[in-house]
Amino acid sequence: MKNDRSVKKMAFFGISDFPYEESWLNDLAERGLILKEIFFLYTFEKTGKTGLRCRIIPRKRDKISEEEMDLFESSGWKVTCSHNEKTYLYTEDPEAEELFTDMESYQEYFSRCLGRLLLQAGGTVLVLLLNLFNLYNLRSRLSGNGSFLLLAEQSRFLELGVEAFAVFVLGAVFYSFFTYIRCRRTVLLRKSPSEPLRYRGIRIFNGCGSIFLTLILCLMLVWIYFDPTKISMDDALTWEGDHPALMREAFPGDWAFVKEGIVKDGENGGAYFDTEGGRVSVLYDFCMRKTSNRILKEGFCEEVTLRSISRETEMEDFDDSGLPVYFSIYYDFRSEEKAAQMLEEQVRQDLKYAQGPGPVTIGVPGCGYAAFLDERYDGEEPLPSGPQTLYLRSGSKVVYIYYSGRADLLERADFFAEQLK
Amino acid sequence: MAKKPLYPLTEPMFYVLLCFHRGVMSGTEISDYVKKLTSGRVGLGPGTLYTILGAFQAENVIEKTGSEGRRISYRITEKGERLFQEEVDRMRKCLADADRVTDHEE
Repeated sequence: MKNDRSVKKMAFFGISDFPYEESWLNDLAERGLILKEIFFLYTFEKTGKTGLRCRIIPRKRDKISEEEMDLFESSGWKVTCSHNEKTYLYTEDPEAEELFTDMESYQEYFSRCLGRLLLQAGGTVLVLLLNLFNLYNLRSRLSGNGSFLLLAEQSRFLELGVEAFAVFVLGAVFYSFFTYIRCRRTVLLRKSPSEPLRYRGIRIFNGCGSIFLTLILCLMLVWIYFDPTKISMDDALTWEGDHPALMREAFPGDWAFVKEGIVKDGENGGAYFDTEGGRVSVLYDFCMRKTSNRILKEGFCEEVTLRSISRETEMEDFDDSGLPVYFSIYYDFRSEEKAAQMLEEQVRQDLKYAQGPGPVTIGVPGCGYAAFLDERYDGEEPLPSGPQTLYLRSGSKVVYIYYSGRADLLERADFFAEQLK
Repeated sequence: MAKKPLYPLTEPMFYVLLCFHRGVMSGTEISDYVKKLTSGRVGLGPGTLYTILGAFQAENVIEKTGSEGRRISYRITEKGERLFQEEVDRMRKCLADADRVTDHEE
């Protein structure tokens, strides 16, 4: 409605600031301005009359019963606008009775409305906080075990995004609570329902509060956008010094070793590096996309094809891989002797950390060697539910699986034996 | 928030209850009648009236009799009648006390 009869004004009032908003609108109404619409700005219509009155009912228009509406209208009050839990009523008739003529009914009506507002606000805050926890969970899932894991841009973005969102939510929660208390005091301590209130300070305070909160959100988003640790694969390959993202959580020595030999692999969109055991490709399948939660590493050399499939404890099994949690590594050696030799080495290494009894040989159909290492130790103390390891070898193929949950792992031995075929 | 007891009635409450002695009435009729009856001394705002009707209904002081379009008519119940009578008695006693004291002074 753009014509010379309409006026736009900017103001910031929280939902529970309606007594102050009412006072402001009432001052404008006395000059003949009727509120027509609120969409970021308040749009008024110039009526050319003076001495109008405005009152706000803190309820949605459709929550006001027909009987109540009839009472308002027959006393000369008209609803001109409804926005965000608030209904705006205007009257041109100077004789029209006030909406509330005694403090008892005014306080009873408004404390009921305020109670509902608080309940709603509480519900919204709860939903926001729950979402926040969800985001944090997602973040811990993304950060992975750190081995050969290139932290994607999304991960960093998410991490800071969550923080920005958290600041915003907490700010909004404190602010809403503050305005609620302020409003409750105003309603209960008011001398009369039509007593004018000083809204100027509130408008400025609310405006600054909104701008401040939005600014924090924007600043953090800008910071995320120009995040120095956000790098592409190209950057990763030419990076000098301590690497910010690639192998962020791995041992520094590991990184130096990878950095020397890492080569971008255009075909797979990843990178690879050669190790003594073979070429290790780093491919990405991020759980952000929910297509897969496995980080696949494949490498080839004369002696071994290495395929490692990991699934972290916190990861959901999005693509029903059926992989138990922790991780499993598959090797395909050129010869059976090499496979046996490698497995022996692997068991020997594992026993260095597991100071208990050695692996127990178990029977798994189709496997030349199947053993189960239970009860790992962390230094002196046995871990109450420490991971177990399952070793399987079928011909030149080897798999070993770390897992926490003895019964599950033994039950799934067949599944892994199947993968070896 | 604990519910406020209805007794003693506030002035607007008293006049609303008084109106029902004319029979079945709707909200608009009540506010018009009270204005006329008190020559504008007691005004019943629509919000006030609606709150009072709601409170009365919740306490079974009045009951719905029917609706005509958006308007709903109410009538007083026995409990309402008792409440009104108690209030009238209370005010009579107040007046009597006031008279006694002021007469004595004279």
